[in-house]
Amino acid sequence: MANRLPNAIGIDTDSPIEFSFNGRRYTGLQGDTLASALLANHQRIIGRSFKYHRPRGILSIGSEEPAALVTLGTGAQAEPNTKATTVMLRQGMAASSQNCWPSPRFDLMAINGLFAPFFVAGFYYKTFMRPASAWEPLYERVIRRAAGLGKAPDGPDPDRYGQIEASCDVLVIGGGAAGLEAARTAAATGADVMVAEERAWFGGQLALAPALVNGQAGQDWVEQTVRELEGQPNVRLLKETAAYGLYDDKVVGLIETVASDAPSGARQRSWVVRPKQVIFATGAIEQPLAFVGNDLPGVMLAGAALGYAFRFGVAPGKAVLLAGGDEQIVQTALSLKQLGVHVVGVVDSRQTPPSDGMARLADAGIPYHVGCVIGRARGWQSVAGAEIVPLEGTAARMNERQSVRCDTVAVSGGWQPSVHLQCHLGGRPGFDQTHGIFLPPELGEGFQTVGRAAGVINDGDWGPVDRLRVFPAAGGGKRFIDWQHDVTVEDVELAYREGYRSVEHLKRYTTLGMGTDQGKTSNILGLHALATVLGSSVAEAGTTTFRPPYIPITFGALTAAERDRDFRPVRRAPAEAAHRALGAEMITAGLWYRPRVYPQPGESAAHAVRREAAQVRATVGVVDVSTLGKIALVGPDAPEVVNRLYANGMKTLPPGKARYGLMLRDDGLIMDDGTVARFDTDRYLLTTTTANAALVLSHIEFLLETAWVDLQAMAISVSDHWAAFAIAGPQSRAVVQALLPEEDLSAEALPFLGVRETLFEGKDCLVMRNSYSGELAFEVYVTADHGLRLWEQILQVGQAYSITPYGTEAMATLRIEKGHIAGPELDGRVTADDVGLARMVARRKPCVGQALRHRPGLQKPNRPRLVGLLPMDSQAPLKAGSLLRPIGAQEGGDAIEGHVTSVTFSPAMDSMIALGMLTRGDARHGEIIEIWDGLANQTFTVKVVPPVFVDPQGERLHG
Amino acid sequence: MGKPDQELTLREQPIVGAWVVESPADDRAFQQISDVLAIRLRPTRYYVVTNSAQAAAELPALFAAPMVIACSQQRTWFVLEGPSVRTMLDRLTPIDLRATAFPNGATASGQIGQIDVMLHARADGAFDLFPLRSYAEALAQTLPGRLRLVR
Repeated sequence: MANRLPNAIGIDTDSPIEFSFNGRRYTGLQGDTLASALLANHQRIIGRSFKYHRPRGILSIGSEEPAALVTLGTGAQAEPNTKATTVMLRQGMAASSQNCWPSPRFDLMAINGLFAPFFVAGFYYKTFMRPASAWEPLYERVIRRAAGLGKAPDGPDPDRYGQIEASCDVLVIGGGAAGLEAARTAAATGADVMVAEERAWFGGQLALAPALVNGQAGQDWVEQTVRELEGQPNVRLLKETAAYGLYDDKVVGLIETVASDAPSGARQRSWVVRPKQVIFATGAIEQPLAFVGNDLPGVMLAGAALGYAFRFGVAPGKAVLLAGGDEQIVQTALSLKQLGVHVVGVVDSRQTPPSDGMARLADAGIPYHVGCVIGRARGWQSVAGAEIVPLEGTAARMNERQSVRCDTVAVSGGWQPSVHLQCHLGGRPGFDQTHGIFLPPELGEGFQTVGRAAGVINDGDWGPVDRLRVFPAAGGGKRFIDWQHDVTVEDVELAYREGYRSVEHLKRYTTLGMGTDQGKTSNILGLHALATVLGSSVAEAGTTTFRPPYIPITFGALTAAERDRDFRPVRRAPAEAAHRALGAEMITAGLWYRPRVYPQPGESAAHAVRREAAQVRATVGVVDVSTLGKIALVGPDAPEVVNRLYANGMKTLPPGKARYGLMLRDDGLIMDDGTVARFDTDRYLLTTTTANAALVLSHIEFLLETAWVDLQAMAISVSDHWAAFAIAGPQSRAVVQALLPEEDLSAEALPFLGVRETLFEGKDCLVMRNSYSGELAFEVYVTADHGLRLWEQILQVGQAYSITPYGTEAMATLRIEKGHIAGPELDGRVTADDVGLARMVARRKPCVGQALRHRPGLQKPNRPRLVGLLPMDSQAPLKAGSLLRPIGAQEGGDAIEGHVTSVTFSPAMDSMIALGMLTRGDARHGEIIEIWDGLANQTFTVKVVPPVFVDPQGERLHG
Repeated sequence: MGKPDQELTLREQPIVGAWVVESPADDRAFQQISDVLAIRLRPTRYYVVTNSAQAAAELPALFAAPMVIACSQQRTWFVLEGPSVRTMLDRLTPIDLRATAFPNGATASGQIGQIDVMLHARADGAFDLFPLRSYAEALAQTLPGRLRLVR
């Protein structure tokens, strides 16, 4: 590795690491990043650019990197668009170039460069227009193949990710000098401190360049301070943990890269941190310069060049030319020389730099080109030389240009404080005219910015405000601003000519700053280029909006453990195991698993549903209704609460009885329906639909805590406390009687909607005569720990009566046959009148929804009404969601008069039947209309009938 | 029940009796009964739970009817214990469980993943977790994996 220099501070020369790049094996050292290891192995061409497929090398040394993008790993674990500058080298790492074929050195798609004049900014707004018919079959396919950088893996991600919630008193973002000092100060007060540093090491710039802190070598100061902080129990230091977003209430998102041998087994972890105070010590980002050929591999930021030499012991090149316009470029040159790098010259755009710099460079034998700029970097696939051009004002004196042989041009357009996170809450950075930098917005209490991020620079200054960043185009050629998206100074000028003059339009028209680097090294250059064409200042040009994430983050880290059963935890009813043992097909209803149907061996599900429904009507069946919402309501004012909650009158409901309840929303539409069972003067049990259980409880709690604070009542969910089973059919009383032999369950003792508290095998038990099926039926509740036992006993005693378990499908069949409404009808748009329950609603009783249910919009005569639908073809494959229209109507639009809500095959009718909502439906019984399924392009002729298909007089209900 | 982490253990505690009660400020006799945990849900509302048959027999007489609801089967009682339980649990929920913010005896409702849980910091350093009964198995199954990911 001829590029290695001695005395590097960040690597272990005794610990080699084997890795591969584009299939070839190389050796790096412990402590290397992939970028430093590649440089050490003379690999300068890392990939190809997005549009022109120009060769791309390593520009920077951190997450601001726009060019050195690789794909790490292979197969399902491949991670594309990874910045080589941010990845720590690990044993066996496999990296590959992107956007090139067959190799980054020889890429067939470089032919795009020949068509560069056609591929200028915004070209896709002007091309691929004609013929329009070619768009889908040709243009889109070609563009999709050519677009993008890395390739997403095509298999499920096998890696694990975690998410950590954390609270602290002080979160310090950035582990450089300012961050470490802030952490030390905060920790000394006893505060609980967290420090998040995106790199694998602490120190910031102190880890990348020689410096002194109070007379002590910078790196020594860093190590000492870190040791001190690590020894404090109230400090948590997180390396390789980047802050990616600042959110409301000071919530900060972090993304941690986890070591491969960490006990968690996670590859990455996101952190959601809720600090009391946030200290931004995010430092500053060095900016490049724009000149012809500045995108060639070998052009690198000067600070990065020094960092590779100082920390990783890698010479950025064999002959390094530096270019800038401040004292720091002089110091950088001297430091590089001291580290053993061959520096061939310094190009300084200042006309009159301080003389001591000249003297020091002269002593070091480094040519100093004052008042000059880089006119052009020369080379085919990487830098082979540069043209130095003297300036006259801002014009280049081309006839005085001078060629220099070099393989690296280390450039510096000054530094810009990193203000991204501070702007995530919507603020914009302000421009500091004195120093020519953008500073973060004021965020208020609990936020502080320190160090370079706040514009504070202890070891120098920010350089001349009017420094030249965009050099004259010497002899034509592209001057790149955005290395990733191939955006040039010329593109900015083009955008201006075409009318895109605001910075927001410039960004979108040229895609400047929209790559994975989010413009960290391009936005400032772009603003300067824009200001030049606008004839305004950078401050006037303004900035675009900063949004999270600060760096790319994987979807895996965001979803973390929320996958599969962790994301959808299974909610188990007490008798679930028994249903599975019976061979039930289960479905998910919300998060519950419910038995859909119990097919017998060799029986189809469809046949099983019909069998179950028919059996219920013939003898008896039992269905698990434990998932129904159940709310216990108690208190001296519970009767008043119940009366206000439901649209139908409840004050006359005596203890020992239940009543069907219709609950309206404030706007008069139906929210939910259920039963209200009264056990005592001040004790009720309310049931709700499974889907609305939480909604109804929230509704009640909200009213008790806000609108009805004077009422003394308490409501809690007891949905899990009670297991419940509905036993329905002509033999249901006999079954329940066998279950509870001591109870008098005669029609006189327990009339319809009667409720009773009793015991089942010593456990609390409720019995309610209620019916969802329209048959004689009983709901039996027992405490959940005895639910399975009760289910088993029901089946046991029911054998004598040919009892069958039935599932949700048969339950739906039975209720549709009876015209009972459920979720498909209660879709949030219907009133009591719409579904034929107008008589239930007490006209004058004050209750939720009473006032607005009378509004004109809900009284219109052409509102949809609940109807039954009987197809002319009894086997017609009707579908819920299909539309209703007059016979012979064409397609949809104004012809549509309603829709189908529920469909089933009715054993009782020996036909498909449906419920639907039809305009003025209650006045159209007997009419023949069409059901139109636009998706399947099918129509069926149906007769509009009353919604109750079976036992319309309700005689079966009473046994 | 199992070891969710090398150092942590999750065990189920039987609930012999549980009630939600409204109780005025100066009438908390039930808090003096041993083997009774009273988790404050609201200023005057408590979730009172016990695994003692004796306590379960004594408690109803101490509640002021009618503002009491028996709900012994509504939740499952888990105890998560181990030397680093506070640190690990803090990583799993958005609730600030640091000792300074959540001292022993403190309670809160929060989420572990997608599951709502009531939490109580016990005097012995362990934590009581009260998920809804129907989610108990899911919590027990997913908790070890979640804890491992945040180690």
